[in-house]
Amino acid sequence: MHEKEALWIKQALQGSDKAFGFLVDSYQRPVYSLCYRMLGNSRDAEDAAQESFIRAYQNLKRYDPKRSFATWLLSIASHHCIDRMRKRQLATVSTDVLQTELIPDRNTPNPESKFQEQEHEIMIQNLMRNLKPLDRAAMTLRYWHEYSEVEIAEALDLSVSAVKSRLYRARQSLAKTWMDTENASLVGERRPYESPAF
Amino acid sequence: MSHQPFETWLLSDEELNPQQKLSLDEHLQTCEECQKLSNALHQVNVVITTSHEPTPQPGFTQRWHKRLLVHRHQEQQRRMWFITLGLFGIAGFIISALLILNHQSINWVYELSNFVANFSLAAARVNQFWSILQSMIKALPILLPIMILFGVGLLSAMTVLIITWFSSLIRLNKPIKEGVSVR
Repeated sequence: MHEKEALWIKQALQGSDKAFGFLVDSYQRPVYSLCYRMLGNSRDAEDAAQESFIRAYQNLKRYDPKRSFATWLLSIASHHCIDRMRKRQLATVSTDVLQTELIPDRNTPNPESKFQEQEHEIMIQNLMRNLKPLDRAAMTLRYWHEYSEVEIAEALDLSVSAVKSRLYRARQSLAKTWMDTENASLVGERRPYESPAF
Repeated sequence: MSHQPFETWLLSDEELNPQQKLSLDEHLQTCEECQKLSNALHQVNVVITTSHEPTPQPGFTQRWHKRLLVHRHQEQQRRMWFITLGLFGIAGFIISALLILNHQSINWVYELSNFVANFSLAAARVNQFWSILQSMIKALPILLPIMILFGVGLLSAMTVLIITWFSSLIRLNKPIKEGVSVR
């Protein structure tokens, strides 16, 4: 573990909000990214990431320094997002939220690339909409955080074989959704990620 | 046509050996279904690997600090409510227990008025005690020199008395000299 990180954890354990703030600063990107991939929009992702850090701070005494702090944090964030998805039935992303995020800001330096980026994002969310919360968490950790199956098992409190079977099922579902989208486009529908100009 | 073990190989994350790779390639050339699956998985992989990393809006840590304060305030309020409800619960339990114990000879109006009267009396006594305590604290600057003077006087008098008492004891216990007649 990084020396500074160990020091911040030690100080945070003694009640220093400032020290934990440094940890928040260091890990905000991976935690937010995981929440975004799980929940599908920036508003919920921000809220879930903030809440995950608060939970981590509250339960810091339970953290085992032998484990990776990042894995421990992502484990808290994953479980929190899974709970949210189950409670609010957010397995499918609200189209309204995505549409509001899709409108590019006129002041953006390159609105076209921003628009493409957002369309790409919608495509990812459409692909992942059929995944169960736990499968989605496993996929996110595997593909966006490049976690090994052992690390995913540790983060999600699953056995390695359970992770393997969840990833297998998730890939099957993603491929099926892709093929269904392809078939739909063949019968005259435009692909959701393609510009009407093409 | 059987798609196994090729479908499993395509969907699992395991690294294939050269023999398995060759076998899979041969199967993909003849099986349209597995070819579609392979293409779909490849496309999905491309979509995932070319996606941008979502980043939070600037000021995430500052917002977290603010949220922490709000969270603590809410926790404190929740705790206060819990304690208040707990105390009410205990009081309710005691009153219920007392009522159950006395249920035969109970006169509700009398018991209630008695409880209110006792409660008022207790509150009045607490108030009275608090007033006396406040008056004493207020009068302390005036009373303090008098009390010190009185205390010093009392201490001196007691010291004199103790010395006199000890000297008397010593005198009385002195042995009588020989040859001196006692009348």
